Amino acid sequence: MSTIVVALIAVAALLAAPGRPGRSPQAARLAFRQLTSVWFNSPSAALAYGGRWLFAVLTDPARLVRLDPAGLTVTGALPLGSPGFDLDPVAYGDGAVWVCRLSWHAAVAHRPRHDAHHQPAAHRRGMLPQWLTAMARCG
Amino acid sequence: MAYGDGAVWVAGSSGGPAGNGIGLERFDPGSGQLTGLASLPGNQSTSCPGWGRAAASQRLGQPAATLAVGKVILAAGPGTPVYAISPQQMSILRTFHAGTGCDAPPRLAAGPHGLYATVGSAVVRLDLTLAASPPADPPPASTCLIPSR
Repeated sequence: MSTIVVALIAVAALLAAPGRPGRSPQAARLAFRQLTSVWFNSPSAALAYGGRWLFAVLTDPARLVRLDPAGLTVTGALPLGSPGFDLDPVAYGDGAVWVCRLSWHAAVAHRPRHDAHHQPAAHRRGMLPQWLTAMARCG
Repeated sequence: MAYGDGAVWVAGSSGGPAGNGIGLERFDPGSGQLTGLASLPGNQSTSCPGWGRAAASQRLGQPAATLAVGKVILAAGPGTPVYAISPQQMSILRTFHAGTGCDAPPRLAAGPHGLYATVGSAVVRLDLTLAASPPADPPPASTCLIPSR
């Protein structure tokens, strides 16, 4: 009997040990439920949650869409210019949605038709609010 | 990389062959110390038409891994299922498959209304809930996610 108890404790300790990707005892009672879904006509390149909204970047045409996080209803959209390369990370912070457009040449945090590496620093700083204002209208 | 639950989380692949899985690391934001590490296995038998095993490996333009932090940690990589990880114990709570495994890792997000993942051209909302009563039989190890139109 004591051997069985020791063995059970050892198994439990292994499952609970940090850094061990073993299945948690809690897993036996957890289940994924798919609550709702929404389809688009192009793949979703990125997702971010923030400001009580879910945001998705879609690739073709490249656009940022705002979704109701419960029902996944589209509540707003913002074109992102030229088609993306399935490489448009999105994040939410400081009350704004941040989209990073990646081109073959550079990663820029504003409209992709401008090349940040060939603009004076002051000009770059001046362009960011314009982009963020556009983002804020969607967010 | 993501911040949540009082920690900085980093997920990435080793850059090795297809289906080698991904690593998940937890760092203390104050000290920068590594406080947890988990190796999440891939499916080395993944084979995709026209690409062979290379289809499940990291390809140009695809992230090495995707990550979202909420009540649980969601992480996925090329050729891996999506893992739901306990933030404290870093143990696998549940897995689900999204897509064929030959595409880019699903993009993930977490919010108070649930967990979100991309599956092809769809965005799905998921909930990881406790079963009302303990099941008579062990649940399946993995769930296959098929969004309904």
